[in-house]
Amino acid sequence: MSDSELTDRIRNRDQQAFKMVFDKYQIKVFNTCMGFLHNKNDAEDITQEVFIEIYKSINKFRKDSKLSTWIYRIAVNKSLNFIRDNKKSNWFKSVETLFPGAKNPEITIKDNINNDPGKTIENKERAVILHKAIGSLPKNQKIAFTMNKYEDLSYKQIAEVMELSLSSVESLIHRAKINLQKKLLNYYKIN
Amino acid sequence: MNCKEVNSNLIFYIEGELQPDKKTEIKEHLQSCQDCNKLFLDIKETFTIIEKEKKIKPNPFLFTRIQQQISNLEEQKSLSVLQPNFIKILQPVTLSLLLLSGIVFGIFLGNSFQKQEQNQTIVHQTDEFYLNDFQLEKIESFLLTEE
Repeated sequence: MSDSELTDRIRNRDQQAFKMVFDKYQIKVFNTCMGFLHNKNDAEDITQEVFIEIYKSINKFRKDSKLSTWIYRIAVNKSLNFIRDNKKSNWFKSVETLFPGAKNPEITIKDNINNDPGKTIENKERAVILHKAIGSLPKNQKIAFTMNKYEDLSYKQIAEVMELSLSSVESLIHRAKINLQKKLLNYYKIN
Repeated sequence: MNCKEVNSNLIFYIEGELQPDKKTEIKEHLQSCQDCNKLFLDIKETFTIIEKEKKIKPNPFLFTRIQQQISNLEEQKSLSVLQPNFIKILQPVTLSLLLLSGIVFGIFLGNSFQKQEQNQTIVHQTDEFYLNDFQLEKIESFLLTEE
């Protein structure tokens, strides 16, 4: 069934069609959210919000763009809003950690492949460095890079989602890679 | 190619985005320079984190959670559709009922006072009757009988 038919059926509150859209796009949405949030639980929560938004706002979706493009846009916006809101609460958390007895925030990155504790700690460190480096990129570079690396979207698809020209997306990803390289080299040269 | 040039192209070398001749030059440099090779391995290893994150799968019960949330939202929505009309009707009805019950209570209270007053006047009258009864007997005669 085509996306257009599915959209029409969801407009009529067809649960089966909604499930079909979910099955088709859940991994794409989840990976996009993971690319921005780097945490499974947060990515699941945002994926849930994205699909609720799709169900609620399906009447606002105009068929002049692809359903996938619309869904990616919702996923990106929801993830960025989550990061923005989390930054505010993190400020309070950082104040809390100044007091004795407060819990230190711990980043948990699962390494399912390797069970070597030394390697796991090293991977955790690398993950923290990478996430910090991606997080510090300018907004558009971060969106373009994340969609390209985490969701394997083509430059054309990214251009559609971000409503930019193909050359702008190419430039954004190129600059994002140079910035990331700079940040990673600075870190690894010192350590 | 010197170390600076190699370092500025490492990410594109890892991503396989370089021209074949440049790629060969960097490869040769990395084989001979330990420092650059260490940096290359560090960055390459860091980028594998992305591939590891991509392997993480969402909870298989995610759709059930979404369905539950949607049904909750629709319930709330149907309640919120009813609520404004309900409040619009309920508010004046309650107010007028309160006003009416106030008036009825007032009338009832007023009536009961009136009845009490009537009773009191009856008691008064009987008192007077007794007093009048006394009046029937002349005080002089009473004093006389005492003697």
